[in-house]
Amino acid sequence: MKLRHIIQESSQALRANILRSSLTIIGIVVGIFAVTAMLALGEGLSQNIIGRISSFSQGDISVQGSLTTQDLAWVTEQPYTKAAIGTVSVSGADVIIGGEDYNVTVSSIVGDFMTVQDFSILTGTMFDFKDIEFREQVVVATTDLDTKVREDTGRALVGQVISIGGQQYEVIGVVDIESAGFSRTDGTLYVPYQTVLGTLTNTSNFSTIGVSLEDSAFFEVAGKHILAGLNTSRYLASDSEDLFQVSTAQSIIESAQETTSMISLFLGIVGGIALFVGGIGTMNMMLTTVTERTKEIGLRKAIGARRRDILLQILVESVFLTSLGGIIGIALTWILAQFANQALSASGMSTLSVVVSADVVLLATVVAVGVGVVFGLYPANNASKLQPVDALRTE
Amino acid sequence: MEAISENSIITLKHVYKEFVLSKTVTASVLHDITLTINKGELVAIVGPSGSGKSTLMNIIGCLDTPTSGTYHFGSHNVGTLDDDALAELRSVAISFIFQSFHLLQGKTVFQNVMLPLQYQQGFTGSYTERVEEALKESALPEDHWHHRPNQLSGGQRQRVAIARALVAHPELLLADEPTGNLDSKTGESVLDALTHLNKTFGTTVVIVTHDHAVEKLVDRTITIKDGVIFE
Ligand SMILES: Nc1ncnc2c1ncn2[C@@H]1O[C@H](COP(=O)(O)OP(=O)(O)OP(=O)(O)O)[C@@H](O)[C@H]1O
Ligand SMILES: [Mg+2]
Repeated sequence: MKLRHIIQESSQALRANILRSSLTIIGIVVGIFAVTAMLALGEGLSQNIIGRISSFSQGDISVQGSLTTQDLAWVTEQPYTKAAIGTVSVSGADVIIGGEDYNVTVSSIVGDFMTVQDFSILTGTMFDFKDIEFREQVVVATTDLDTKVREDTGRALVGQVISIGGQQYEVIGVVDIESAGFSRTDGTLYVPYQTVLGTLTNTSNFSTIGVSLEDSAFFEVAGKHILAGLNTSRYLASDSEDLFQVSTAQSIIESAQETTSMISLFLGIVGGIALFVGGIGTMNMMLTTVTERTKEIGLRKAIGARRRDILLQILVESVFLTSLGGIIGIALTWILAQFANQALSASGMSTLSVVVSADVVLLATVVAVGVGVVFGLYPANNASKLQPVDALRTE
Repeated sequence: MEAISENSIITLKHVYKEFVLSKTVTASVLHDITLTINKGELVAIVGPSGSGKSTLMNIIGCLDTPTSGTYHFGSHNVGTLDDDALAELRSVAISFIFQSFHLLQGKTVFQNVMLPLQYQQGFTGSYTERVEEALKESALPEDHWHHRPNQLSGGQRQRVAIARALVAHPELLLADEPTGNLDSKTGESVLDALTHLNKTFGTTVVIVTHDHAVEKLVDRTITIKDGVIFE
């Protein structure tokens, strides 16, 4: 029998049993939905992790706490340190650009930031030691702020004089990073530490020290050593995390990967179970129809159907069911992903998203077809082995 | 071993058929059947209920195999053929008409009649033409062609079954009590259709029947009693 005819036969048989077919599909829909949701969420999360890591612009190691200039000097002296910077975030300063208020993170920095933060300058220049020593009123902006200002005013940021906390600063450059992952700001401005000391910031202490290592592979040893050194200078136990917290890009990646893989594993198990149950449901339905149609199968064999004609017919029916379930499941994921993404961006978490990629769709389709084949094979084989006389004799 | 005559379409030699009912009980249904039917013959098989008529028909139609003895269909030794080869024979050379019609309820008359062609491996012609030709031959009125079997009378259903048997242009047509579910008048017209086929196309026709009226229509009557044949 030609494939075209086999497909006709199968769809005829399924349409004759609409209700049962639909009920059988539900299991597959749930399974494929769970699996695609898992993959879409996983994809979204891993994109988000990449986003967060690229915004982790503190070199190899980042130390949080109330850190002094002596601490920075000590860290910079260490043999494993290639470069170190100290940063203080300036809070509560109004930023006005071209007469408009902007919601901007202002960060004052000192040290070899070009090495530690791995910036590259898109336009203009970065401030140098001269600017810092003469306490020049200069700032450098991130690209997202530049883009926003261009959109709003049609003017490039570089060369503009802007107001931070009521003082005038000149924007001298734009660097190629975007602001950190979850922050809901228009961008970041970097100002020289000495310039704003005593004006925008009223403490000489840093909130973060970022360290770039000679060899990033030693992040763990170096991290421990830094923590121990800082704690010792405060007469604390060397591994205490009361005053200082040390994190590494690596440790952030690891903890993020752990979370994603936990969520993926959970959804994967749910999806796997649902698919298995759906597959068993399909097999059950196919076994039932084969039994019900024993006589019909006998008749088909009597008029010339070969074993493979019958086998293919039942298999195509089964694959038809699971593929349809697969398509509905994928569609469901896609629709829910749109809602989820809308909700996420409405709540400001625009960097977190659910991504239904072509790979996900392809994989889900393959899985759906595969389930149809695997669970259809046994009933199909049973049907194909029926002896025509015996089949025709059944009442 | 005796040669198979070129004229014969069915050659049974010392055929036995037993059914295993349980480990200890076997039912012996056919005993030492030796029978030759020639191409173009119109044959009736008669005998009481349970005598083994259907069992014999199933063997002749390659739906079942003998327990012992040989069966040649034309020059093919059926006992040596595999499942696919048997299916091929049933597809192109042998057609059945059953007492209970065995039409598929989900399909229209037209689709039912087309089915054997769809199972024919090498069929290249026009499906529609062949189906129309067969339906015309079986004299089913055209306005019923696209009805479902359950919208037809018993006689009309049997005509559909005849059309389905014809569509493949078989060499052998086996009818197991084709009139069993029909009143005598409808039954007669179905029998007329079968004799007509035999006369016009030279199709070999074997009819199993209880109906003694059939004996007058056929070339030859074979009687079977308790699995043994008499002519
Ligand atoms: N598959 C089977 N298993 C067991 N016994 C069988 C089987 N097929 C037929 N028989 C037995 O073989 C005998 C002959 O059956 P068969 O159907 O050939 O009779 P028949 O001559 O066609 O009868 P009827 O005129 O009632 O149709 C019966 O006794 C029946 O019980
Ligand atoms: Mg019978």
